Amino acid sequence: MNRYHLVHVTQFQYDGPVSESYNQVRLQPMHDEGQSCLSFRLTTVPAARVTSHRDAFGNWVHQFNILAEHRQLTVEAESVVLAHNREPLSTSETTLADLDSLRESLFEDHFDFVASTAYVPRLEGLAALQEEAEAQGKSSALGFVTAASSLIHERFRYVKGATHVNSSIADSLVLGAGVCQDFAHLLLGIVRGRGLPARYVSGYLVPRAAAEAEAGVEEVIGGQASHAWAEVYLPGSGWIGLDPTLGEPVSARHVRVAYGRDYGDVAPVRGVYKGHAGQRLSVDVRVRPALDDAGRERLVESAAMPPAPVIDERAQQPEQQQQ
Amino acid sequence: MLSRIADSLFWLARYMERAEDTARILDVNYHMLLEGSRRQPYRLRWEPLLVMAGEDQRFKQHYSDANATTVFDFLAFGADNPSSISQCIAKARENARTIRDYISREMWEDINGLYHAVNRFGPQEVGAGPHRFCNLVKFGSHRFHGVSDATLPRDEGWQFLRVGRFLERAEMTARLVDVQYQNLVVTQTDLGALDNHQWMAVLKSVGAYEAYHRQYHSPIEPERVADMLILHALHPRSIRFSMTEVQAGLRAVSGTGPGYYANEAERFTGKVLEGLRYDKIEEILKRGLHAYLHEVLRSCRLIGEDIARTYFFYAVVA
Amino acid sequence: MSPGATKVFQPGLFEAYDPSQFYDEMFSAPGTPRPHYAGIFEKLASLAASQFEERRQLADVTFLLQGITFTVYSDGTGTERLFPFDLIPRILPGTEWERIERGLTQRVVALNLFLQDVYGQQRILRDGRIARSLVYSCQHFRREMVGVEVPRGIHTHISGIDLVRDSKTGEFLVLEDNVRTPSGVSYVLENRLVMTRCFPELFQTHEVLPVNNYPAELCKILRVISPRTGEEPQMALLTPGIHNSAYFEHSFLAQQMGIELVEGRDLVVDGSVVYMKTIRGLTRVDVIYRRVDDEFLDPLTFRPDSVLGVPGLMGAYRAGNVTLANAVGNGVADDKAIYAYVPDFIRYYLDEEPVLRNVDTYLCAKPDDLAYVLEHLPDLVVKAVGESGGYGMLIGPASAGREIEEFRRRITAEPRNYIAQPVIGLSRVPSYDPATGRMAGRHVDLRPYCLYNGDDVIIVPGGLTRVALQPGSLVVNSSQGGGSKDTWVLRGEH
Repeated sequence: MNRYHLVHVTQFQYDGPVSESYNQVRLQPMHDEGQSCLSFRLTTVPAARVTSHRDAFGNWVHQFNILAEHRQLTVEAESVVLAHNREPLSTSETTLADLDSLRESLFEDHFDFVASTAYVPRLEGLAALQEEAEAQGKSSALGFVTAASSLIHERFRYVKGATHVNSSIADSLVLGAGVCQDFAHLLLGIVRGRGLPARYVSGYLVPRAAAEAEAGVEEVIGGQASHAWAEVYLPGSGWIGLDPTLGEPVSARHVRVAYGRDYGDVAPVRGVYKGHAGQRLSVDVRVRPALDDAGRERLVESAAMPPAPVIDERAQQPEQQQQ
Repeated sequence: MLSRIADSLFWLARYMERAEDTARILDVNYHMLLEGSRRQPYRLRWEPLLVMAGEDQRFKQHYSDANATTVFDFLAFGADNPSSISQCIAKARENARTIRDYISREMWEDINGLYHAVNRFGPQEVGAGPHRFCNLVKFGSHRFHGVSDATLPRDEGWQFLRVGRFLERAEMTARLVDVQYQNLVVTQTDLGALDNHQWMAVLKSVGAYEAYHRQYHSPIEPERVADMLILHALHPRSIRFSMTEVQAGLRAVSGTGPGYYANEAERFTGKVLEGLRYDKIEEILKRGLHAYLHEVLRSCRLIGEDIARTYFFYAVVA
Repeated sequence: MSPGATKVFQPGLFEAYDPSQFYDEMFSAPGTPRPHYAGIFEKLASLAASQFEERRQLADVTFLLQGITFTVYSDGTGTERLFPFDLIPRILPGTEWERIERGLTQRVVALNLFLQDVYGQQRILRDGRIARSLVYSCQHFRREMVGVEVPRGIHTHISGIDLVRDSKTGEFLVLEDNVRTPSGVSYVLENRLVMTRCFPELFQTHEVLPVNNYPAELCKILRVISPRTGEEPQMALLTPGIHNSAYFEHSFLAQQMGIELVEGRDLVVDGSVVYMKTIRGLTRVDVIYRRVDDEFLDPLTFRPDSVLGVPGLMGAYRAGNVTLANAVGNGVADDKAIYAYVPDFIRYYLDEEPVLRNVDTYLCAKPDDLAYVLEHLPDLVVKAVGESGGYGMLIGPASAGREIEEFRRRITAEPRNYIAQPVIGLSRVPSYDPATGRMAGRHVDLRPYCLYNGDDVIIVPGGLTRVALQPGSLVVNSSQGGGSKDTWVLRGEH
C-alpha cells in the first residue's frame, strides 16, 4: 500500500489579455476498491469558485470561470491517494472461443467501450497485430490482451512529439511511434476488434524512485507523470489494467484519474476564453510519498494579485462594432 | 434592456440619420449644380462632399473623376462605401431585424419597406432625377421617427434611438460646416457669387434656408451660416440643439440631474454643450473654426465610445 | 346552397382539375367536393382568375412587408426568400382531428417518458425492449445528460410530429418526430392572419378553431419550469441570430410571448448562474427557450468552435439554476432509427395501443432489413438517421441509377446511419399554379405542434401544412421548394 501526495500544476500564459474564461478539468483521482482518494483540492489563480459533478462515466469534473481580464491562469490540483496493492492478474478461464459466443451480449452491455470512436476507428492495419496477439495468447482471452499490450510495447517506439493530442491511431500506425495516449488507443483498438470492452484510463505513473523512496523526498518529474493506459473487461474476471507503454500490467504505481471511451472523454483540462491572444501551456506534476495527511495542506495563496481593471480600447471609427 | 438591443437601437438611429443627411446634401448639391456657374470644374463642388463623408480616399480607389454621376453613385449606392445611403439603410434594417421583438411591428414594416424601395432604385432611375430618390430616403427617415414616436414607449430604448440620431446629426453638421467653410472661405475667398451659391446649398441641405432669412433678413454670410448651424438653440439641425438632445437622452437613461454626470459620455456632452451655449461665433472664428469643430468631432467620438463602454460592451465582472 | 348545386358553377379555377391518382383532400370524385370543403369550393369556383390573383398578391405583399422570409444559402449569397404561401386552405373535420389529437398526445407523452428513462434509470434498456447499442449509437444521444434531472421531468416541452395521409388507405401515419427544436409554428399563426385578411368572408361561414393561443400556452409552460419558484421568472428565447433561416420565427415568438430574444453573446454564466447583459448590468435568467442545437449550446461541453452558444451553460443547467426548453439530448428520441420503436414505447410506458401508426420502416442496422433494403433500393425512400429538413435522402423511384448506387455504397459502409421506408403516396390538396392560372393537386404533409407541461399535451388545432409546389414532387421542405397552407380544423363535421 502506497500513499502519494500529488500536485498537478497547469499554467496558461497568454500573449495578451483574455477574459470570460471557462474551464472544465478532470483531475480528481478515483476513489474505489483499487485506490482511495483521501483528499483533493483544486485552486486557481486568479481565484475562482469551483463546482463539481460526475460525468456519465463516473469521473469527477470540476468547473470554474474567470470573468475578469487576466494574462495567466494557473490550475493546481493537489491530492493524497492511497494506492492499494494489486492482485496479480487473475487466472481467467475465458477462452477466445468463448468471446465469439459472447460477442453480441458484450456489445450490448458495454456498447460505449466496444464501439469505435474518433481516436480509435476500426482500421485494417490493426488486423495483423490482432492476429499475432491471438496466436501468442494461445486461445486464452487473458493471454490475448497481455500479448496485445506487449506487442505494442515492442513494436512501437516511444517518441515524444511524434503525434499530437488530436491524433487517432491511424497516425501512430503509420509512424510506428507515439506516446502513451497513442499506445493506450492502439490497445483499445486491438481488443475492441476482438469484441472485448476496453476503456481508456488517464492518470499518473508514479516513478519508481518516488514510490520506493524514503518519506519526505519530493521529486519533480514534469509532465511525464501524466500517463494513460487501458483497462479491458474480461468476462468472468472484470476489468484488468494493462499499460502498453511499459508493456506491463498496471501496478500500485498507477494512479487512476478518469475513464472514457478514448482521450476525448477524459482530457484533464478543457477551456474556452474570450480574447485574441495566443496561449502557451506548461504542465508540471510533482509526486511524492506523503508522510501523513496533516501538515501537508500547503495551499497556494489564491490572492496572488487581483488583476487591475483594464479598459479595453475599441475601434475608433464611428462604425458599429461587430462582436 | 439588453445591451445588444440598446446598441442596435443606437446604431439603427445613427445609420438612418446618416442616410438622411447624405441624401439631403446630395439632393441640394445636385440641383444647385444645375443653376450654378460653369466657370469652375465640377470637382470643386463635388469633392468636399466626399471629404465630408470621410470617404475621399476610398472614392479615389474606384473612380478617377469626381463628377455628378460618380459622386452620386458612390455616395448613394456604393456597395463598397460603408457610408453610402443604400449601405446605411441596409445596416439600419439589419439592426432593426435583430430587435424585431423589441420594436413595434409598424416600425419594422416601415423600415423594411424603405429598404426594399431603396433597393429598387438603380443609377439609371436616379439619372432621370435624383430628387425622387433623395426624397424617398429623407421622408423615409422622417416617417421612421414618426412611427417610432407614435408606437414606442418612452423607455430607455427610445432614449437610445434619440441619442444615436442626434449624436450622428451633430457630427454630420459639424463636418458639413467644417468642410464647406474650409473649401469656401479659406481657399476660395474670391469667388463671390458662386460662394454665396454654395452657402445657400449648405443651408438648404440642412433645411435652414428659410429659417436663415427669417432670422437675419440679410444676404448669406458665411459667419452667420456658421453661427446658425453651430450655435442656434432651437434649429433642429444645429450642433447645439443636437447635443442638447444627446444630453437629455443620456440623462434620461442614467437618471442624472443637471450639473452632474454619471459617466464619461455625459461628462463630454456637458463640456461640449458648455461651449456651445456660451461661445460666440466671433470668438470661435478667432480661435479657428476648424480647430473648434475638430474638437467637437473628437468629443462626439469619445461620447460614442463611452456609451458603448458604459452600456453595450462593459467588462463583465459579476 | 347544397353541395350538389356547385356543379352549376363554371369550373373556373378548377377547370380540368384531376383529383384521381392520389387521395384528394378536397374532392371525393371529379367535381364533387367532400362535405367539409363544399363551402370553400363554392366560393373559389365563383372567383374569376383575376380576382383570385388580386388576393394572391395581397398575400404576397403582406408577407414581404412583414419580412416573413427565410434565408437560402445554397447560392452563396444568403438571399432572403418568401416562404411560398398557397391560398387554398387544408381543411380537417373536427372528428378526424380529435383522433389525431389523441394519437399525438399519447405519442408525445411516450417520447417524454422514453427520454426520462434513457437518461435516468434505463429501465427499457434493461428490459431489453430496445437495444442499448441502438440508443447509444444515436448521433444525438448526449452522455452529458445521463443522470441529469430536468424540472418536472419534462424533456419535450415542444414537439412537432410530422404526419402524412397515405393515399392507399386514407389513413394518417406518423412520418417522423421532431423533438429538438422544431420550427414552423410562426407560419401557422401568420398564415392564418394573412388568410383572414385575404378571405375574410370564409371565416364568417366556417367555424374554424383558432390557433393564436399558441404563444400564450408556450409562455405558460416556460413559466412553470422556472427553477426559482415564488419569483417572477426571467425568460428568454435563445436564437442563433439573424442569419438563421428561422430567425423570423424566433423574433416573432419572443415578441408574442413578451420575453427577451437573446443571442449567445447576450448571456454570460458566472458560478453556474446564467445572466443577460443589460444596460444596467447583469440580470439573472431562469428559463431559456433555446432554438440553438445541442452541439452549439455550450462550447465548453460540446463543439468548442461554436460562437452561437454560451460557455458554461450546461454547468448552470446541470446545477438546476436555469431550465432549457427543449431539454438537451432530445435528439435520441427523434432519431429515425429510434422512430421505428416509438409505437413500442407507447405500449411499454403507457400500456396503450398507438392510435396513429408509423410508416413501415426498415432499419439498416438489422442484417435482414439491410439485405431487403439493398435489394429494393429503387422502390424505397432512404433517409439518413441524424438528418432533418429533407437532407440526406434518397427517393428511389425518382432517382437515377447513379444516385441509387451512391446510396448503396453509403448504406453498406454505415448501415446504422440509414433507414428505409416504402414510398408513401401523400395526399393532395388543390393548389394554385401560377404557370397555368389554375388549380392543380399538390402533395401535402401536416406538422402539428404539441406543447407538454408535464400533465397535459396542448396541441394547436391543425398545425403547419407543407405543400410540395413543384408538380409531382413529394418533398415539402422549404429548403427544397416547398410552401405552406393555412390549416383549418372545423368545429364538428363541416
